[in-house]
Amino acid sequence: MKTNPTLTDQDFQQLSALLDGALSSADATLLRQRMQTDAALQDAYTELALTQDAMRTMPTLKPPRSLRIDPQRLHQARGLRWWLISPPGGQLFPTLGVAMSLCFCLLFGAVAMQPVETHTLKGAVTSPATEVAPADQSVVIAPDANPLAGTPWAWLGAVTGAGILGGTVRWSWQIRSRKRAAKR
Amino acid sequence: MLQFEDQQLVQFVLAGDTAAFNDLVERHQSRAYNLCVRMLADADAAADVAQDAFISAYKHLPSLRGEFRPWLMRIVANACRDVLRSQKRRPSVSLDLERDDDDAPAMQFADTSDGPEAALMKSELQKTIAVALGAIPDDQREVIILSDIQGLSYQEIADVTGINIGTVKSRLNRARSRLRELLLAAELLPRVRRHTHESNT
Repeated sequence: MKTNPTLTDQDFQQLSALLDGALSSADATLLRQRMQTDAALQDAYTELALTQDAMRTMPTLKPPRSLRIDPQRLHQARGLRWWLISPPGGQLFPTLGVAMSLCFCLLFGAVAMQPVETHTLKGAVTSPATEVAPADQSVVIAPDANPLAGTPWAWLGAVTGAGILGGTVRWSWQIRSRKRAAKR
Repeated sequence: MLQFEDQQLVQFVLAGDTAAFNDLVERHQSRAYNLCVRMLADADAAADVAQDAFISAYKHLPSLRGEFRPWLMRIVANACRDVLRSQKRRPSVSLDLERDDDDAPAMQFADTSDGPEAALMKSELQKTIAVALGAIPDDQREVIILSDIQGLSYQEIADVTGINIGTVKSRLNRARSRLRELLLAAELLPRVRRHTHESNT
């Protein structure tokens, strides 16, 4: 048997929405008015409601066995993320992470704050004028000069280090909080 | 007994308390199993799939953001979908699921306040629905189970299935339409409707 041909897809959508209370009050009133004069619409709604009621009151089936999982099996299921948050990794990695990111941050921060050293190449033209350094003087570059000093790259390194530091501190804080919550 | 919220239990598990995870299993196993059994129509396979889903949930627990229940149900629904996809299994029926034993309380089928005849009719309707669900496409069946059996809202269904609310509505609409056709074909629905109408008048 087919569905009543007088019922359009839109009618059915509206009936379904009415059943879920998802129709606007104006549309719901209009649909209810139509149902009073359209027997097919009324029947369809009643059938939908009966079906939904029958489904809602279906029995909750009990699992044939308990689904509890053996702790050993759970332990084996642990992946990399578990390894990073549980002991000993959970104790070692946050500490190591904080220490390393702190070093990273300090190192790049120190480089970034170094004054920029300007060198004048001997023998090079230093101005549009005709001043030329004596050609016989050898070029000396200070051995401690850091090519990254004061550059945006050094600042970027320092900021990245600070970000990683913040992340690892937050991570270790979360692990500590969980442990405290579990103890409580 | 001290009752903890899901989120607290999750925190305990993440802090190393494995037993707390089994508390979560106890709490959600019925809902998870019922979704599986209605999707797969095989009680033993459903228990296995639900348990595997719990193990998967444990494995990925450190990446949980937000609430536990919808996240878990999403894992369970994915596991069911995977099984259906890999085995191309259609729920073949399952009057067995509604067996009259002590564990599956048959008297829960119907509200006997309407009289024994109405209760019997409702019980028959429920059994027919359980069979008819197997003839509905997997994606539509999933949505109608979550909505009309498990009572989830559109938004919750969207969270579990990973589809948008508009698609939830259209799948639900198609599923109800198809289910109604099947029940009309079984000539059961008009009989129940008439009986209800007569009872009311």
